[in-house]
Amino acid sequence: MNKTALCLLAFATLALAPLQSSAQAPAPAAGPPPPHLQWFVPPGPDPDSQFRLGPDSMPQEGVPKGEIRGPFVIPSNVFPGTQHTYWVYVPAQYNPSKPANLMVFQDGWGWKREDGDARAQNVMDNLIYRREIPVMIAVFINPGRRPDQVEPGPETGAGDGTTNRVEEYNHPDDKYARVITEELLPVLYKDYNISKNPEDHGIAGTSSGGIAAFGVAWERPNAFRKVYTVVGSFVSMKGGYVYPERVLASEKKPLRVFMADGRNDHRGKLGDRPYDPLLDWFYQNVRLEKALSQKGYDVNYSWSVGLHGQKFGGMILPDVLRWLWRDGPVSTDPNDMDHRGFRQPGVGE
Amino acid sequence: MKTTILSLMALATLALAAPAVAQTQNMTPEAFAAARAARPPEPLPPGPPPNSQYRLGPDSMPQPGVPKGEVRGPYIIPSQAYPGTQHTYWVYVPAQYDPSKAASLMIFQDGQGFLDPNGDLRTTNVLDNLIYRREIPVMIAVFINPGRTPQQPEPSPERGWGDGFTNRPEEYNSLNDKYARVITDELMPILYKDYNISKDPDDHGIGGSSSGAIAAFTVAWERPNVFHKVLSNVGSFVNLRGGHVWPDKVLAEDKRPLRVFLADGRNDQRGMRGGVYKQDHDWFYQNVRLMKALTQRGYDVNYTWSINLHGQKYGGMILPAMMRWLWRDSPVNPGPDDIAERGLREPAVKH
Repeated sequence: MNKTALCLLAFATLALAPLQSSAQAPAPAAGPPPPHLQWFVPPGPDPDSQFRLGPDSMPQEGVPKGEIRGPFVIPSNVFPGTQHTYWVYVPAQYNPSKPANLMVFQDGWGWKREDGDARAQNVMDNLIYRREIPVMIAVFINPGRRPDQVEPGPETGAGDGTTNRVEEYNHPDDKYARVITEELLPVLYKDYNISKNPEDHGIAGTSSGGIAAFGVAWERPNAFRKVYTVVGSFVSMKGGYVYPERVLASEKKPLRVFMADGRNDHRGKLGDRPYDPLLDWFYQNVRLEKALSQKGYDVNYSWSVGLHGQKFGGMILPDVLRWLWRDGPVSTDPNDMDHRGFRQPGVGE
Repeated sequence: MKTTILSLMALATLALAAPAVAQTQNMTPEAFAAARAARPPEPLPPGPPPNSQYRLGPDSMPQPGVPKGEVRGPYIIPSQAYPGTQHTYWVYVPAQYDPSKAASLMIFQDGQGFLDPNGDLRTTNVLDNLIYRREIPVMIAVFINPGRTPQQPEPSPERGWGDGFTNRPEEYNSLNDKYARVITDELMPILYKDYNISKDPDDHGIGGSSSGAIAAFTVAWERPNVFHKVLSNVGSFVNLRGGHVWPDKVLAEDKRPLRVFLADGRNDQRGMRGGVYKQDHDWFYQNVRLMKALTQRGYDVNYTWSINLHGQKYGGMILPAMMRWLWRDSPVNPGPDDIAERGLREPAVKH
């Protein structure tokens, strides 16, 4: 088996497995991978054993629930022959006469999964109601696939090896940014009243979806200014380790970036192969954070001990959304009793 | 009797703006609580109670498998800064504390409230969980109560925070360096003697709620070479003793190397008791104003505004997030071979 095949197999079987529930094996591979394809993990308790979702990630009594519409499918001109499936979260407070904010989640199925590690719709329900984040439309978009390829999901896996995911998400270029800004956004603008201000647009993703989200904002800072990456794959899958140097060499962009990662993310030690820093997720995440900090970006980050996956990044999603959207409009008029109460359905802002 | 009623009425009308009149600090906790309850209520928005949707999360609870730190004390130190008074404090020592390695330090005002195992903050659980997962560094935490004379009752979850029966309003709300002296000249030398604590101000944080928050901010402001991290929940940056001028001071004075988290809610005390709006008693307005001043001057500032009332329901819920942000840049070893650094942080081996 040559190195490329080995590497691809490793990603297909392992890199994406954490997006699955541990109870469900990804469809493309049954059983644990052979030892020479396993990432090294230190002895001791499972590094993911102490992450638990909190009350803001759960449905709460009395909190108005948004609606998830879809799936919708749009054909892609950027990646001819493929299409993208997406869902739209519309908060109960949305009012078509008032522009809403927008947040776009890559690997959409994983972020909205009701029994998943992030449960973004519950988080938005709770935080919008308490006015900790503004009223926002959220889009959960899956990676592109041909019509005959299987849709990524809890049972079918993240889509590496079975869809166009790796091609779209991992290249540090502007092709996937065009999918979002030229193919998705125009449809959203037609269907919903969404603010045109880039400060009101956020984009998020996990693993390859993390580098994809960062890449979209990097290439289109006039469309997206808020980024959340979880265990972002800023590694040598398709050359994604170049961002720290790009950040340092380029003019500073008006981006706000939250990075979550763990010390037991994939660490560049695959089986018995020599250590490869270009495949060390944590090392590359810390490197990118330092570059962003050095250039004066509005950056926040949190390093825990977790494995590759969304256990930690999902747990802290409420904190991350509060930070990304902290400067939403606020009224300091003490007589503004509407603004002081819970945000009611249909109020729009 | 008549005097008592008059005094209660004065409290009721003047709310917290009452000057440092001796008798307001020599009430019984019960009388003070009654006076507080007798104040005209602040108008609130219609609908469900603003605090009805805050719930502590798993990081604020004890978790199986997570090593528990030890709370030592109470200890009492006499005060030179405020002669005749003394301060009670407790020390949290994490299971991972190793006397051969310098620990970080975080000091919480109104220590009894931050320490209360059934309270809204449960700080020791948060520290246990986050230290174990390496999201914050190994830190000693001190929970210090406001000063009191030996005859005055100790603040507690049952008695209250100490306004009306201790030196709390004087110490916490005054804009001078006297309380900073309590912390840096009276408390810290003892801590340094008893524990191996880093001398780097980047490794020192200070926090509080309400008057304890303005106290924390003032200490860091007056001693920026001692404290660089500030946690403020429903901070009383209002005109109890002139604290409403903080935003102007921030804009006018030299920038300090401070990192500040401000949490507040739109239903904090809004200066509307008795039908007259007093902007310098509008907690939320003043917190937003302070945030804007800090932001304008380029401070490392984070903030979140919910809809909570005055109190710790919201700030307590997000304490884990505030701590992660304040301490985010503790050293990490990005090399893959440091196996100890990659594991959950286990208790230090006892020497």
